[in-house]
Amino acid sequence: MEDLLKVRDLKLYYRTRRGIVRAVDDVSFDLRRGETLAIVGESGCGKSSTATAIMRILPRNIETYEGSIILDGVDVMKLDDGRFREEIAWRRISMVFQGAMNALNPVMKVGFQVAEPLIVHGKLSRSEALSKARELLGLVGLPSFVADRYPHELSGGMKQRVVIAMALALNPEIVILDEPTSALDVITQANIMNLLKKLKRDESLSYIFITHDLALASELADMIVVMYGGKIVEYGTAEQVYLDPKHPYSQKLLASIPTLRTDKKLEFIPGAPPDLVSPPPGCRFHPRCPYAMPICREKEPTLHEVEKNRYVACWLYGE
Amino acid sequence: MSIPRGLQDVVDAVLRSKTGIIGLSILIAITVLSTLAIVYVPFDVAREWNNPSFWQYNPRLALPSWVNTFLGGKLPETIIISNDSFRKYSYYLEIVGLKYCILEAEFLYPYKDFPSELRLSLYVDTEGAFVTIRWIQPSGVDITIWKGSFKQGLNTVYISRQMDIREYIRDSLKRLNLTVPSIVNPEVILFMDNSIAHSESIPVNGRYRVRVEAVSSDPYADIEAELIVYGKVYGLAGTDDKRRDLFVGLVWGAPIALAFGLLAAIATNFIQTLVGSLSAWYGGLIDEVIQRITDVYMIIPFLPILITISVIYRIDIWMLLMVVIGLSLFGGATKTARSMTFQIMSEQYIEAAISYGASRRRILFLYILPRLMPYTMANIVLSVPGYVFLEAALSVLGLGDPMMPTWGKIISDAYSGGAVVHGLWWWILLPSALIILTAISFAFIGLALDKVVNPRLRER
Amino acid sequence: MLKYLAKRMALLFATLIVAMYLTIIIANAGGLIDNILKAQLRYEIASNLARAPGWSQLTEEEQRKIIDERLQAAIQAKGLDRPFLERTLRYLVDALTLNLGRALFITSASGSKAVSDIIIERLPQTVLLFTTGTILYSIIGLLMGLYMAKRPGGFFDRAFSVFAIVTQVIPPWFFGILFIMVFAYYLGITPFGGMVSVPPPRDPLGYILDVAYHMALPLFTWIFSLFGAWAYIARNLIVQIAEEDFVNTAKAKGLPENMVMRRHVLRPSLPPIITVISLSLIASWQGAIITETVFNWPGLGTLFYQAINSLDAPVVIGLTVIYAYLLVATVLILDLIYSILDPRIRSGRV
Repeated sequence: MEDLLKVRDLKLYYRTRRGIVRAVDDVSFDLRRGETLAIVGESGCGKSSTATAIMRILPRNIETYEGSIILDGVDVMKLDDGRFREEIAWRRISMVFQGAMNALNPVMKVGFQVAEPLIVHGKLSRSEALSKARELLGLVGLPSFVADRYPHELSGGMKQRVVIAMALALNPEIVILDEPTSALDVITQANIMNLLKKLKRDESLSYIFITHDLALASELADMIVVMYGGKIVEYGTAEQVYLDPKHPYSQKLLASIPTLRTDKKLEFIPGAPPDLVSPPPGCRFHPRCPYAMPICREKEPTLHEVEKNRYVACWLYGE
Repeated sequence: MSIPRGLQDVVDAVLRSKTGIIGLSILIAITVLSTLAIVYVPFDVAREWNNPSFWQYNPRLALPSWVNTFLGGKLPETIIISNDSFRKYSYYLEIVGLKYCILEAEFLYPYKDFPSELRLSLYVDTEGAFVTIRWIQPSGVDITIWKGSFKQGLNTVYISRQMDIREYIRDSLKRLNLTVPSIVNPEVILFMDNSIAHSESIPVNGRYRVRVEAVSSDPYADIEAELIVYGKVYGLAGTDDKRRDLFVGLVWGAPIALAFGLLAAIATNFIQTLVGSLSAWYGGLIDEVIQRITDVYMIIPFLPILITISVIYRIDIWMLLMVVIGLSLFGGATKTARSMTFQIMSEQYIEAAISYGASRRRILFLYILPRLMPYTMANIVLSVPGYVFLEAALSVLGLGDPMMPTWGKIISDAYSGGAVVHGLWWWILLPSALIILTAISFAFIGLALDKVVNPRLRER
Repeated sequence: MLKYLAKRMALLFATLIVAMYLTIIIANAGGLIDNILKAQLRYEIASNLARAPGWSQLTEEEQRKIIDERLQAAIQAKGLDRPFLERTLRYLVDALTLNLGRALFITSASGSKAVSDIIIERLPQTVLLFTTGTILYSIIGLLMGLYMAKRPGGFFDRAFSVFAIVTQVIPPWFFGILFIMVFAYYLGITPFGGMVSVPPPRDPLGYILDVAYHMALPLFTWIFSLFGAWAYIARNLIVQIAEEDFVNTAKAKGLPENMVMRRHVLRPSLPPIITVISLSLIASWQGAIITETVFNWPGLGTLFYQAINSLDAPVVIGLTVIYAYLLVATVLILDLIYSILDPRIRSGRV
């Protein structure tokens, strides 16, 4: 399998009154065709910002936006906004936001929102686009009449399916899913996850799956990236990261997942996420790390390849 | 945390922002002005404001004194020559049975501009006297400005206004072979050099004399005189058409404006917030009823009803306050307080409080209402200007308290007194400036508060 | 949607009744309306009788007796001797049907003393000035708000917010007084007030230009005073909406910026914007009263002023009734527009 997407040294900083927020600080990863890459981390770790950085949805107060995003060998970062919008956005990479929340325009019918990219990019007529939209809705398991409804008339699960259908409108290669199941109940969550698996097979998609739920990520993902404080701290296959987490943070994340059967003592991670304006010096996790060493306070660890294609950013494993 | 918890937050917010500080300083200045009112104005303003005799020694429509500094001091101030300054000679000629009383006063006129008015008051302490009034210019030109009989008591000669005086002056000048100028105003003629034609531009400086000669058959006749040479400037804020010292009105208007505005704002907002909170807290039918009442209240034509009340019943400013509050018991703040209360109610510590048995009323007053305080305070501050202007608006319409000198009343008097049409800028602009400053100060403070209190405006 | 509208209409009707009844009770608390009506009746009876043959032959005593008799009969016939509640309810019905009686002192230009005639005569002028002004400032404000929403936090944004807040606290009529002083007195480029010059130009074009000339300063004052706060509110609403997820979705979809702005930012902003307009229009109608007075514009506001000064109670009461209608009508129209714009209302969810 070849690399479909190579992200290298992606940086996204924006200006606030308090200072410059380093939301995405030197993020690199690969996505191979047909794979699912999960990005896992707590709120504010930069995972959603990575997604919007790839999609080039930049905030108004942007300070730095650099790196390379190489899609099928072409660095799309170098494209100007117009060409990015015409060639890449939604056509090759699309995105699924949290549908149950506000990803849908409340004053537009749902069918039209799904059809919109078809009209604008696909150059279809309105009626053609709408009938294709109904097809797409069918693909995600929704009856055709849903197209004539407004978002507030649909349940959370239905809205999430709509948002997925919308993402598939132009037959993209990569779909970025940002917390697609967070606001849903467990059963609906399971349904959506099944739908996503099915679509991945049937439509030959590659996913970038963003979540805070490590267990959920491991269900779907081939590769997992763990982010903390805007940086990648661990990278490996789902099995590797889930069964043998190496970074203290990943270990803590796993330990904090309650299990149904065993009587495991629940652990939690003390402290709070780092301030992205002035992060702690050295390793960003060191204030909360149980294994912190003096060097952790001084030097920032880089990603060390501890096994083949298995990286950890921690002084426990590095030189 | 979307609803700030403390008064501390609020005060901090104000002091932290630039606008907040500006607003606060202006407010402090105006409060100082208000306290000045008590010191500077020791008399019963409401009564004296409408009492013409109280202000009679002031010039009409005079500019503020400090304007004079820009004009090189040319504008005259008022010169009052009281009875004591008149030298009196009286003698009784038995042969003819006539008492002669002669009063003469002298004053220096150093100004480069003519006075606005002249007035001579004579108190005749006898049944009747024949009086001659003479005006002697520095050059010695002796003009008879009046000849005739006066009745007993106080007689006021409005030298500037009476038509007969102009006749007398003209005749006098003719007899002296002087040019009768085309300008007919006595206060100008009497001060100018009449030997040269077209010399009306500057008054002659020097010692002027006024001479009152009274003749009476009563041996005990006596006469007193008072001359007022009205100037064109007065005080810190000038005067209006009723000679009132505008500074008094302005200074007095400050505490009234503040009191009215604050009382209305505080009462209205407290009541609305309380009602809104109660509505959410008790829910159900009460909520529904209060919501409907609020909806209705918000569409009622507030101002026309206020006008109707003011026209049909004579009300003073405090009655007005009551009516305004009555018409504002429900409003926008009710709805917002209600939704904020709902938000607070869903927080778990309220559930906790209920579960350990705290009474509903206690929870409302101890936990919920204090959280609404910052919002209420911001609202109060922001609504004060509205009420201050409401009072002014009613004055402009001719309603409102007829006795009290409020800023609104002064502006309205100025407007109907033609200040705008005649360019009497100080009469309109000074009270306007004060009202604007007051409004801006509250607006700025409110803006600073709003940033804290309105969660939607905060930066992500 | 119909359920929503029906509910709103019921509410508005209730408001109308409450507002009018309140006015009537206030006005009649001292029996004022009763007295005015009785006096009017007496006047009518007396003038009718004066034309009857043989009237002048009767003595004053006899005349007065007959008038009193007729008056009593008329009072009974009209129900003016019934209890307070009944009387006022009757007046309420009169008010609702715009049967507003006769003025005490004021006469319309056409010579009628009927209050409704007097008011209807003045209504168009008010509508002309203030509707034009309101439409203009709404559009300008919206455009300005949009412009600022695109560059939030910038210098212009902050400077404008100061302007907005200053113009928000100072009412239009106040600016009116100041502007008249500046532009009419000191600069001499606009008239001091009124709607037409005296005497007005004869030809239609000249007349229109004359009206436009007189309308310039009041219109400018109205717009200047109100567009700032409005722009700021619009800006805030738009900025808030622009941060929503569905806007990001639209951007991610690669839609051109104009389309994102129009369909996904502006369009969803409209419902809350309408709500805000609704409230500010209510305030505007009332602020217009004093603004008109200041500019001597011959509309409802100046009529109020004249009625106040001549203590012409029927006109004042009639005007209050009209204003109740105006406000209710305004809210009704806006509710209608709101229901069209916000689909959430239509299904009765909100």
